[in-house]
Amino acid sequence: MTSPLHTAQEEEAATAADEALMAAIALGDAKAYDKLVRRHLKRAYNVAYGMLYNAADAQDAAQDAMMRVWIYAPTWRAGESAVTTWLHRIVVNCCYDFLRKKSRQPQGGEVSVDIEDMTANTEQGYADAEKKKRLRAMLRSLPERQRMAVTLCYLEEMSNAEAAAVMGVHIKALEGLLVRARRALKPMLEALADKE
Amino acid sequence: MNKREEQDKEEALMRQFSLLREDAPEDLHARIVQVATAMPQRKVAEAAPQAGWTAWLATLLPDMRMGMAFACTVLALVALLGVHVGQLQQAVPQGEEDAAVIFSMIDGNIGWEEWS
Repeated sequence: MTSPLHTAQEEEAATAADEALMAAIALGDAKAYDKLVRRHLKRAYNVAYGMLYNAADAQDAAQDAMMRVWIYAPTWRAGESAVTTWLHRIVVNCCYDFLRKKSRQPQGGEVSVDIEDMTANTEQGYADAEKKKRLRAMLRSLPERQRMAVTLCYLEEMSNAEAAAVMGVHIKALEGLLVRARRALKPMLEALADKE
Repeated sequence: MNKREEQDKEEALMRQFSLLREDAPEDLHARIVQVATAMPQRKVAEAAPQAGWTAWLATLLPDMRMGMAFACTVLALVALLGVHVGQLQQAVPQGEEDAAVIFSMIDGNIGWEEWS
């Protein structure tokens, strides 16, 4: 599910750039860290948003993950795993930590969900916001691991191999999660398509 | 609709989730860099270079769990071997006795009726 805009050469160059930045960050280079955060924050934030339903929690999780990148940069070893895989694994772990903390909070199982921007003043804007709201609700209806698989493969458009590495599961296990998620989402997505 | 078309349709439906991609809030980047770079980094102790048989052992036993599993397997094999050797040693006198009886029978010292 790699974006067609990303050619193999571009990806190789990006990987090399990430590795060079990580080597500098490991030596305490704040400018390199600034660049790395700029490159990866959007993806980290979107993965967290997909998992945690609301923007405030997603910001906290993304911040937490990026801080861990700074702290643990000296422990990262080139060749062991790609920077993006390592970084996303940290984001995924932060999201699971967040969900665990939330489940322990005495809220009666309630989870705060963002109200999507309904102030869009055009009819199309309103329809888009409504569609996003429904898609988020569908994502939320999935079990944690299936939600993570869908977030990584469809929201972030990672390849199955990349997503499996991020989740720390075998590629077959990831495919199993995606099959179950597709099966669960299919009637809801079809109903959404019929409405349009 | 055949299976392939069905799968393509499912994929197209699933790809709608990419609409959920959003930009991170503008202040988040600056906030992260400011807070994180003020924090101390985890220092990693440099491992001393290994040489000779210790390096070979290190490649054989990449971590502690593997080492424990290896040690347990060796211990179990040694124990099994010990039990087997013990059984063999117990069986030898019986075998020797049988052989002596057979040789005595051949020599005519013990008759078949006497032995049986």
